[in-house]
Amino acid sequence: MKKIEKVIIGIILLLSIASLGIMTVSRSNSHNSTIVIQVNNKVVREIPLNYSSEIKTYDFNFNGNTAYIESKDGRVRLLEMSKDLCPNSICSNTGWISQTYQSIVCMPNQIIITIKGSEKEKDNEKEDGIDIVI
Amino acid sequence: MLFNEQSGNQDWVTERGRTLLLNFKKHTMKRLASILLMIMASGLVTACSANTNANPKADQNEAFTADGFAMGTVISQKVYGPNGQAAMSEAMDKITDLEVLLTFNAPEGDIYKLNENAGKGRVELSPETIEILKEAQKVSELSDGAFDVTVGPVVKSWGIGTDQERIPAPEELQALLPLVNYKDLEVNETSAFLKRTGQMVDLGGIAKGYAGDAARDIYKKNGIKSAFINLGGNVVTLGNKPDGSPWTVGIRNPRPDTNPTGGQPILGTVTVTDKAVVTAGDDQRYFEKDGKRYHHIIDAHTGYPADSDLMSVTLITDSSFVADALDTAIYILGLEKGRELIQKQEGIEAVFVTRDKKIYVTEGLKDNFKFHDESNTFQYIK
Repeated sequence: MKKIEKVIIGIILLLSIASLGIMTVSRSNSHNSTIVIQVNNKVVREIPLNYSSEIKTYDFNFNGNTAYIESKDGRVRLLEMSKDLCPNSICSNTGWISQTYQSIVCMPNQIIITIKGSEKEKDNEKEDGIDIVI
Repeated sequence: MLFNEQSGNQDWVTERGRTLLLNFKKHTMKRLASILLMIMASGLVTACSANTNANPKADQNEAFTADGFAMGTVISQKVYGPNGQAAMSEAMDKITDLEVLLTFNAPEGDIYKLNENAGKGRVELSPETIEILKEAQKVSELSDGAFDVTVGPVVKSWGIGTDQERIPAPEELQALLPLVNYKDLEVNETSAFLKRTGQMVDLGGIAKGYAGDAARDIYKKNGIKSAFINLGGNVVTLGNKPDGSPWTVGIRNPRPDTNPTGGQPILGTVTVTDKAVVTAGDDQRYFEKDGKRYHHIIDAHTGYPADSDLMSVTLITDSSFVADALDTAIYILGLEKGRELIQKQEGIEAVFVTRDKKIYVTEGLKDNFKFHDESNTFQYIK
């Protein structure tokens, strides 16, 4: 009887501590950023940033055409488009981005790709201290 | 794992219930009460922890962000506070209005009308256009015409940043250059006049700066204490960050391909409060032909993209309007003349990046600028 109560108390304590732990871990776990793709000032697709080392490819439509992005290791890049769609490839030449202050911009096609992070992740970012890049 | 633990616990509780029914005693009640207390206490702990995000100052610290195209560039805003969303929309509306007013492509705009009437007559203009034209004229004079607000005909002929970009024939440029002369622009309090047919005002090097200051005014009007806006190389900060620390602005490497990891590498950072940070560089808008880079900053004396010893220049001062006009001029003038020009002005600091990959900063910035070249190809000259 007494023993059982102790066990129950123990289990309840364990459970609450465990749940606390799980919540803390899930909150500090910053792997929940989102890739936001805008075309002509409208969001056309939002995709979770891929943190695995296996590359994932996604597509999106712009002005009747299709472009592709790749994501892995918490980064994203825009793949080069054909020259008749984007002659200078300044956007795809940007390469990988991984921070919320970074963006991939395709002026001719009015495409902006940004990374939206959770508040927690923004705190983490402050390690390198940068708010804006010009 | 978690599921097993829970189901195990349920078994225990069931067993406990059965035991209670069988052996009901007073002291058991006490123990039961203590167990219940424990359960409630643990519930409280969890509830509290779930609420740690509910910052009492959440409203003031709530961040709003937006990215959009206007003025031929990307406008990024981050605004803190309860009016953040409204302030951002108002700022964006203002910027698109200014774009119409100031571009030479919009028939209903002031600059279009002014250019259309070149050599014909005076044009009534909005007070904002007048203010901008006057500042542009001032900087044209300061730079001895290297930056010239009437460079329009040449800029149009290059078409850089449009789908008609090309290298004009030398004869074509020679024919256009005589039209470029800021002294032929007459501005009074309500109107302006271009003296000769074919002359064109181009505010490409100054309009974004003006818009940046206008956005900051809109934030203030909306009670915002903390915000920034970035109009493609024109950053304007309002106040500090909500935590009271200054904004850290990274100065981009104008040759991102030198960075092995790609992305948008930086050369260093400056920290600012209530300041504008404005960059002019050959990497913002350009096209390449036969391995040569043709960028958008036209030297009004030659008609060709400025060929100074600079890759980029960043100015830090109170007004992005002033900074935007000056940085174009300084970029064209180059390091030495640019430095002289800055020394004549009040309260302007600068970061120069030269073609031979050296970085120079003005005296007042030496404690602030942090050299951090991710590509390891630039040299900071102290």
